Amino acid sequence: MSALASAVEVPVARRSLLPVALGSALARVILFLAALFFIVTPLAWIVLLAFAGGFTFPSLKPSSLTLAWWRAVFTSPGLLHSVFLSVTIAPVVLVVSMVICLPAAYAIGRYDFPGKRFVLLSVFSINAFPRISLYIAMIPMLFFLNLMGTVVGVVAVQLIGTILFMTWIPATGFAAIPDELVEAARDAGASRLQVFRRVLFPLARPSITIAAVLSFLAAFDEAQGTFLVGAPTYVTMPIRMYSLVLNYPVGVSAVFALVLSVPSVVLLLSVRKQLFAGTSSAMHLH
Amino acid sequence: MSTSTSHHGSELVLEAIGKAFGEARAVEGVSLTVEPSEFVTLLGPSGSGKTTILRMIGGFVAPDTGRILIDGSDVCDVPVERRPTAMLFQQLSLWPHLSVARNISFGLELRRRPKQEIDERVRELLEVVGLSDFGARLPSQLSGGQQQRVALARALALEPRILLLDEPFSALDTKLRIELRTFVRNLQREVGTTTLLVTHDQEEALGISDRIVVLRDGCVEQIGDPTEIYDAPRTSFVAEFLGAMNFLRGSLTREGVALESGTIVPVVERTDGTLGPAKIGVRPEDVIVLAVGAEGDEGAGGDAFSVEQITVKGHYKELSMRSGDQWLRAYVGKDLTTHEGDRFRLRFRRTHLFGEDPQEEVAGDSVPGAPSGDGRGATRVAGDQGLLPSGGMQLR
Repeated sequence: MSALASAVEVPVARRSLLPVALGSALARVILFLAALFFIVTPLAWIVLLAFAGGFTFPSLKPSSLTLAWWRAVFTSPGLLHSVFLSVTIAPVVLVVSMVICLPAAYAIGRYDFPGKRFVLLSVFSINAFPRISLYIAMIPMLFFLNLMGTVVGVVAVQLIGTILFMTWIPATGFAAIPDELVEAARDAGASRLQVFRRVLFPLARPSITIAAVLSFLAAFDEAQGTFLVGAPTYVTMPIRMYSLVLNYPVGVSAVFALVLSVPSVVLLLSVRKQLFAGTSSAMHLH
Repeated sequence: MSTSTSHHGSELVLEAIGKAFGEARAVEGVSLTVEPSEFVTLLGPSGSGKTTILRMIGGFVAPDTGRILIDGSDVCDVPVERRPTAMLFQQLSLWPHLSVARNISFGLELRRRPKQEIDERVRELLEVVGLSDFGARLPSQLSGGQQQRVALARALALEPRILLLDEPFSALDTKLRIELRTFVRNLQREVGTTTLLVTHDQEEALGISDRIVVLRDGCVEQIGDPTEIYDAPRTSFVAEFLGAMNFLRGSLTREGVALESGTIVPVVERTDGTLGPAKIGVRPEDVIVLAVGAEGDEGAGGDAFSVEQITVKGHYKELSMRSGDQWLRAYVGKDLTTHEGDRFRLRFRRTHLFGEDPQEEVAGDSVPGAPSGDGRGATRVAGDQGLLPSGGMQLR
């Protein structure tokens, strides 16, 4: 290309600046609407189904409204028991996961020790294989320990899905804290425990919060392993969904799906503020 | 400053401390006595061990050999949190999740001091560092200089007996750096805390220290007050590290030092008789230029140097001059009119004699291996008494 050609190209590029800006704004609006459509439509659809007396395809609105599906869910002892199991077991799993994984995350994030790579790799490998094969491998062990069909067994199997989140995410949070902040605290008279409580933990809290949210949802949502270990005594909400979808009117599944999403929504809303504060304070570190 | 901030410093003694990290020997047999309330600077290039020494005093690194004594008692086994030292870090090290006031009160809270006392102390320290209105802010809402002042207040909150400053000004821009170090120096004079500063900035070291310890490869190269270190560097390393120095190669003879150009620089203080290769050091400000053909020029004699480059530095000019392959820098008054290519004969106000090997001391009045800091400099060479040497330098 000659110098002349490039000299000609420049004004062309300049002239196209305005349309480009307009185009990108338009693209953004389209993207936003598309996202809205794909996120909101299924939700709206489920809400409609949960209250619909009759709803057949070509029609875009229900023929009548009813609370019958809600009544069905909240008067069925089996379904209620599932709700109870899910909202009690998932928090227990979360607490156990934190107790086991956070010290590991702290050690991985703050110290170098022999075998650190191996620990990280083995934690990661949990998620590297289809989960179902892991559960199958666990079952003889759980039989041997008499944990099949017990709450402890269910907790153990649900823990698996939380380990990666609860270890890796807080570990990076701990690792991101500059040594000077720890040394300054020691210098000011803090013991190791006080350094952890007053400096490391508060600074790593945003990452711990994110890990806790993801872990809770992973446990709450876990169906395969819980079914293998807990059924028929412990049938949590996600397991119940399978039989609902197959055996009940679609309205009941819709109600159940809405109920199933309540804890997640509540959880996300409750930590939203902390996550925001967290991100900004984490940014201040750098 | 109120009296509650004033207290006396402690004596710090380092007894032949050493530290190796694996194969690398970071510090080797460093001994030093810092008097109460003294301001001592550890000066050296990166890798000279200065930060390691500071971290050993603070308790972050344990020495392999030697002892560290504060007011006579060995603190080597005392953990960081119980040492009477406070460190000001190079990086901004305020806790980002705590307000400025809580950063300062952190150590006092750990010691469970009464709330009223803590509040009073924080208020007082904020006033000392000139940030009275900033107590409620988060560190991220402060500028770098302000943050470092808060860090200083935090370090002073526990009334340390020894204050350790680890290049605390290096992250700041020049104006702020000078402002803050003057502030720290004045504060230190008032409070009287024994202070050790680590820096690689020679201007900083010369500007604020009572004494300077020049370090190189983990060993003490020279200890002395700023004037002494500048005027009487014991080695060419010290001479070059503090201020600018021209080195002229030559050979030590009975008549003096014969430079490669044939010039003889007579040695005033006689050497121990070792003859051979030698290095003469001349600071650029000690070079007097005499235009060839001008009055007095004959007295200077010798080869003329031609001006290769002129750099205007503000209140003075720096001339890069050359004679053969010998280069030399000279600082001259800004009013001297000169052009590239002009030729000058030179006189030296003051010269320094160094050994050929920069690691070794010069044969002269200072004995190799003798305790440093004894105030005796490298062998001085003719002409350092008067402004103008009278035939101090003999040119062919």
